[in-house]
Amino acid sequence: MLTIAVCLKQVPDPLAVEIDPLTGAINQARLVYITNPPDAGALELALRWRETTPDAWVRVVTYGPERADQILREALAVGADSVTRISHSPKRTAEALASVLRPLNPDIVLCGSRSADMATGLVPGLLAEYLGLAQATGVTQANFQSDANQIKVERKLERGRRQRLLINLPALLAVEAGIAKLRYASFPGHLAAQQATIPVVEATFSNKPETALRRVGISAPRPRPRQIFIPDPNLSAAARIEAILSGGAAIKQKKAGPVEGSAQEQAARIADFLEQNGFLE
Amino acid sequence: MENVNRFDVIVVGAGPAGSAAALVAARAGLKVILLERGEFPGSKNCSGAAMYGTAVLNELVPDFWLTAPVERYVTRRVLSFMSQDSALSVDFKTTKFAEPPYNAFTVLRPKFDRWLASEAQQAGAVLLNESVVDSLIRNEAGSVIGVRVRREQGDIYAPVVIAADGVNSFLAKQAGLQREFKSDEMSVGVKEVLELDRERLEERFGLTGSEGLVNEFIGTITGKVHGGGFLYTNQDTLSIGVIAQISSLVDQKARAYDLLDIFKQHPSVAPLLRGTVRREYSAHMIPEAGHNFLPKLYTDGLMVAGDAAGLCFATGLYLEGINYAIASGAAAARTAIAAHKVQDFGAANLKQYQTALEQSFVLKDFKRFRHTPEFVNSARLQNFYPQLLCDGASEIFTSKGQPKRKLLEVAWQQLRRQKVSPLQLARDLWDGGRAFGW
Amino acid sequence: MTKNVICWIELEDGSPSAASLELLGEASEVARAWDGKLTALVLSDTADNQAAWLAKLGQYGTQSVLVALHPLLATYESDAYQEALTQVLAQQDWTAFFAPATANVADFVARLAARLEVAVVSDCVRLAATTDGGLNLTRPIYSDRLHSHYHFEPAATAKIIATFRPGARGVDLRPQSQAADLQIVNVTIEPSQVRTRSLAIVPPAPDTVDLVEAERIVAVGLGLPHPLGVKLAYELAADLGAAVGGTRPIVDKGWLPFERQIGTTGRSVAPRLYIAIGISGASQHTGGIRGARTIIAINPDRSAPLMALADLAIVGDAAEIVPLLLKLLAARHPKVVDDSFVETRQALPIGAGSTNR
Ligand SMILES: Cc1cc2nc3c(=O)[nH]c(=O)nc-3n(C[C@H](O)[C@H](O)[C@H](O)COP(=O)(O)OP(=O)(O)OC[C@H]3O[C@@H](n4cnc5c(N)ncnc54)[C@H](O)[C@@H]3O)c2cc1C
Ligand SMILES: Cc1cc2nc3c(=O)[nH]c(=O)nc-3n(C[C@H](O)[C@H](O)[C@H](O)COP(=O)(O)OP(=O)(O)OC[C@H]3O[C@@H](n4cnc5c(N)ncnc54)[C@H](O)[C@@H]3O)c2cc1C
Ligand SMILES: Nc1ncnc2c1ncn2[C@@H]1O[C@H](COP(=O)(O)O)[C@@H](O)[C@H]1O
Repeated sequence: MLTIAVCLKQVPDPLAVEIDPLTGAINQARLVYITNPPDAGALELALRWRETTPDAWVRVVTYGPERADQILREALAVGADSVTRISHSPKRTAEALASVLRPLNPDIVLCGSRSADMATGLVPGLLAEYLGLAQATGVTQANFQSDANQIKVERKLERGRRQRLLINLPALLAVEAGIAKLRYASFPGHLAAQQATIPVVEATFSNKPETALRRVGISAPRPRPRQIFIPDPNLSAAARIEAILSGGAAIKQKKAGPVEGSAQEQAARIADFLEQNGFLE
Repeated sequence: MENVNRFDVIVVGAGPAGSAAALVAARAGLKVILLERGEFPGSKNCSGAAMYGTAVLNELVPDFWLTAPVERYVTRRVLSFMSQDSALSVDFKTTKFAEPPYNAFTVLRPKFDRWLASEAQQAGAVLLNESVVDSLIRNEAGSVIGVRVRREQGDIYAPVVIAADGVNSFLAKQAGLQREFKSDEMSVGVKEVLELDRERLEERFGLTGSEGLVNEFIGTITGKVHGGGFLYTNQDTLSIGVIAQISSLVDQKARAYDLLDIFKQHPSVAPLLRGTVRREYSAHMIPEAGHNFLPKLYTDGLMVAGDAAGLCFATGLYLEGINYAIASGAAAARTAIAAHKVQDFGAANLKQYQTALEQSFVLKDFKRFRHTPEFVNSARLQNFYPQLLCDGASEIFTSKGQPKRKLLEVAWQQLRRQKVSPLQLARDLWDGGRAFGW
Repeated sequence: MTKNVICWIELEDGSPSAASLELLGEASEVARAWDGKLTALVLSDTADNQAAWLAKLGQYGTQSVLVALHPLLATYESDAYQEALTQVLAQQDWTAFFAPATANVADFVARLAARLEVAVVSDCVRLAATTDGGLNLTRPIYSDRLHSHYHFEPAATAKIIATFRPGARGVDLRPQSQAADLQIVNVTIEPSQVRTRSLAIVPPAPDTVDLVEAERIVAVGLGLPHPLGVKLAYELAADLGAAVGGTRPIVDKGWLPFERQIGTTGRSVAPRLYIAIGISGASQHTGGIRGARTIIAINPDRSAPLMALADLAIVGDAAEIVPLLLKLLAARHPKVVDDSFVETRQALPIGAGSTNR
């Protein structure tokens, strides 16, 4: 038996979030709630793996208020085997999720990489620690073969690079939004989901001491002053301005102006230019 | 999964009529599905409204104002007669309206409709958004036994269907209960929601706390186009709009959209809107023809409620539909409950619905105000009398260094100048009286 | 009372990354306000570069460099790094541990905080010490449209972990130079503890790199017929490890997705290399490439606005020139083809501490 647990969070649709530019107040009345986009990708991945694995089960959990039932219904509609809502006391999310997931003994836990609202990206790592699972985060591709005890994963690094790795089960993956597009529910599935009763459970928490961290408040963003490059005073005014604008990174040479030539010459000219400027290392 | 598509009652449209129907039926323990084509109930609705006749809703949800997203209770009602450059207003303010159960509320429809639908859900109704009903399903005998939603495997069955799909109801037409509308029976409403901070709003309109204002306008705001305008105060927004008859829009080659702009620039309106920011814009059709226009309300396995049944009273002066919608939706649901008791969903049994409405204020109002649309849409009321009133007022209030004349004297002079015979005036007064129940 | 700060230094090709140096600027201010010591922590499989690290990190205000050495730290492996960090931090005397908010840090930081039972705040854009030993932290929420503020109380034993968003401050241009000492610490990591196995670091592909973070971009405009233009752009980009972008008409026609549009109504980009094929250089387009350092433009029209901006302005037909260029590049630098993302079915032994790079 293979148990795949998926953590879904209900978040305000970023497109419907209206913020007062001065006070930073969010217009609560106009929020529209959706499934956190990467979480929807995680659910799709789970459903695909279930299809190719005999005796596999997709179990969806969320920690949220009553309105979060809606995303669980959507999960049921697309074919989740079970859903559970953990009744909400908006603290210690990972602990709450862990307390409910632990007895399921999941082989794979799928999360989104970060939530669209608070975007801490902390829940997956905490959850993996509490459940003692191997982890990979920022996952952009994942391949799971039903007879393997590993998943092959690609995770996102800076500037478009990827790390390709194998991860042992049981494991937690935190996936990026683009990983898979959640399927549409069939109409009968949708109908059945709307009529389902959503089980609600209570989380159990350890009695850890409060940390020394306090949330103070929310404000409109105030950009911080950036340090600017101080250019060489011997340069011309135009060059100094250019140097400041480019952060001092490029103090450009004089441009040569358009160059003509046969296609072959032009191609060679570009190749040479790339080579000379270190673009062909 | 076997019976997921079988229900006791199907309600199409989660507007006030549909949600009220679903609420009542679900409370009686029936298995109810409420189908809404929009992303959520109210998502397609014109945004701001004044809800009159609060008793109906209070019956369904006692003390609803404590939990419903109402904006303000109306304590001040103004009726303004407008000419090109002036306005004469009748201003009525009373604290009597400031006590429960209140006389009227202003609401923002997306919020309000969503709330009412959620009440139905809480009572056990299943709400399905983004589900467009495409057609009725009938058995061989021709009775309606379900609806087809525009989705694969989209058939849903119930022995009784309540069509609350709003104006121009596609289902009522399909069932042969309603003919196509003529363009002079229809108006188009164009509405905006404007943002204005609470403090300035209250100061500008002389309101305190949750008091609200409803201002209706008639006269040259809409030029030669028949119709009227309105302005409602919400908590920190204003709803403003114009309603214009489609046929006269076509005649005058005007666009409803431009009328709203003209209205907003009227010298007596513009100052009220200073410093506001537009937040929403919407346009919607309204049936306008009153009782003469009501379709048959039921057939085998089907009832129509709310705007779908033409139960909207909109003439430029009065704009009431929400209360009729709620009342008719609830009445349809009660009939469905009774029909379930005897397991008879035939037309003869569903006739109770019509009887119930006839005995309630709903159809009584419509009979009483039967002639209003004709009267209100008459050129004289639309253009001439407002002009007359404004000219008269202007005459009276303008200081010319001469002794002031009496109001009546001025009025007679105006009438003579405009070549309206006393007989015509008398007839109009009579019509007006009949139309508005004076 | 003094309080110490430890910063994690990420290595890129063996030397401290720009994001790490940037963080040192922010961290040194905190350490100074707390009257404490700033220590840089490096995880590596080799100390070969230690002299270079010392010099570089000293320049950015670091007083001490701590190097945790283990063969399993050659490439980022979640469990190995986790273990090493937990061990080192458990031994050190610190109040704040900072790290740049990069992909690898995001991977380990929550788990580390749970193990150490320390509060954690991710992706901060400001870390401002208070003189009483507290710390004010600011992090963006709601897609950067709001800032959320936290305060860390200056209690005696409390600790805090925070990650700092690259680019939030900028690398200090004239940092406080400092003589730093170096200390090597050994950590024990059992291969069996490591449950992942890195197979490869895959270079950027034209459509995986986010334009905003791309160091190289090949952009295509209407000057070439479709699908030739987009195809050539992809081929050239693949050869150069660049991302593909385009002008608005290309996106409007649906030939590239919206997130590939460069310009005032698309993305603003700042690559080191920007190659434009078939782009005229309308102001709405060039408004988005102001940060580009080196521009190459290919256009038969020598008077096209972009030609004046280009460092190399090639007059000619891109349909002819680009294929020739691709041949030249292939000849000069034969490309190592990486067999895309295909399935490896055999269960590979994990935990042997693979160090492939
Ligand atoms: C500009 C304007 C201003 C108004 N102001 C007021 C006012 O101030 N006070 C007042 O009392 N009344 C006002 N009205 C009238 C009022 O809006 C209506 O009378 C009232 O909304 C009728 O309610 P209903 O439930 O019958 O229909 P609606 O509110 O129109 O609801 C119908 C619902 O059915 C859904 N639907 C339609 N077709 C389908 C389908 N095929 N499948 C599934 N769902 C479907 C629609 O999406 C909608 O949600 C105003 C109307 C307009 C246009
Ligand atoms: C409000 C607004 C916002 C806009 N925002 C953006 C934006 O964000 N981004 C953006 O890009 N545009 C934007 N535009 C559009 C912009 O004004 C230009 O129309 C657009 O950038 C031109 O795209 P282009 O260079 O691909 O096409 P063109 O201007 O048609 O240029 C094609 C170029 O290709 C050259 N060419 C022809 N044949 C060849 C060949 N064989 N080989 C090489 N070159 C060849 C031609 O000489 C010409 O210079 C915006 C416009 C408006 C009004
Ligand atoms: N309240 C929650 N309920 C279920 N899953 C959650 C919750 N909060 C976070 N998660 C999961 O953790 C991921 C990262 O969220 P965050 O750490 O809040 O940025 C999300 O994409 C979800 O998969």
